[in-house]
Amino acid sequence: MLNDLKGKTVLITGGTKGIGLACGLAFGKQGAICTLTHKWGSADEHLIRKQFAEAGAPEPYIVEADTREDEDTRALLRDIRERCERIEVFIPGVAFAQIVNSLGDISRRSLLQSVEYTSWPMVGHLQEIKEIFDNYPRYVIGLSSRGPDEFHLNYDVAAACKAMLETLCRYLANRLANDDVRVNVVRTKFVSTESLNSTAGQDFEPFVKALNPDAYIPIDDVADAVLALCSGLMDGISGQVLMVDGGASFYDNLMGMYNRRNERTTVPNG
Amino acid sequence: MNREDILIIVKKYIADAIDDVDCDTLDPSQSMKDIGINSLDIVEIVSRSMRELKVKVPRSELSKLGNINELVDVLAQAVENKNNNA
Repeated sequence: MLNDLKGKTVLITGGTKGIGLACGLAFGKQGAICTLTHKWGSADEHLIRKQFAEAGAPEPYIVEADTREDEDTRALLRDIRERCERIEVFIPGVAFAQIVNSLGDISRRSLLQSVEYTSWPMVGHLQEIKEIFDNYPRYVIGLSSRGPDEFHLNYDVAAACKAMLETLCRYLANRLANDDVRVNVVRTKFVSTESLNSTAGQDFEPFVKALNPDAYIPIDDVADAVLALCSGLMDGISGQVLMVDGGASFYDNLMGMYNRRNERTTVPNG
Repeated sequence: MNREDILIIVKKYIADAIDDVDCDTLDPSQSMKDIGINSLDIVEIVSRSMRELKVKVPRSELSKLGNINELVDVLAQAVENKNNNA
């Protein structure tokens, strides 16, 4: 049965940019009331409100809240609690990790900081939600990447954080199986986001697109997959890490590049 | 709130972020990297300093910061702008 998301509360941390924002818009189009959080100076609130208005979505709540600060998280959740009795969907979307250019960049501190931003909120926020709402969200969707399984440039620490997120997803799904909660992670390969560009470098996207124009998938495809997981039609799925890449993970390898060699035109700096 | 006050605030949050830093002997012209401040630390230090000073600095300014003096300059400018607009 399809869920009616109209008026339901969706919380997306790190929801003012990239995949988080695309998810917000997807839920907003269904009539959900989205709360999007951001860390200081990283949101163009006017533009976001305009995007929601143009999509016919309810105006989102845009809240500055540092996902690492317990005080911010509690204040955020108490504010939401005054508006509703349950968070329907929680998307811990903050991904903030040390960019690694050399082994010396990795330190215990930077790894722990990165975990606190990227992996821990899936658990920590859920615990706070339970404390403040006395229930859990019906759907929890983490956002990950191929980084844990394949080389991503400068991504050592981020990949470790994503691997942790995926593992926690499986265990959370098990622990919350009897609480009407589904916990899943959506993985993407290449999606055009500020985050990927800042990690891999500004030259990366044009380089890849010259090799394989289909390697990047539209950001809305990812958001739609997240929406589908919360639609009610996929309630049998929990504890899963689902790849959303238009099939690129299978064919986007050296053999695939060889197969497409005659399609290539110009490779930047190649 | 003058530049020296802002430097004290910034040093306080550097000390919170980095275990083995002696703020009394910290040279503000030293590069952040040499002090052992990573990119996540910078966000943390700036974020906390801004909260205390009740100012906002554009995120894009961070990538330009090389040392503590430059950070203090950016924050001092933000404080001045706030006072001018008050």
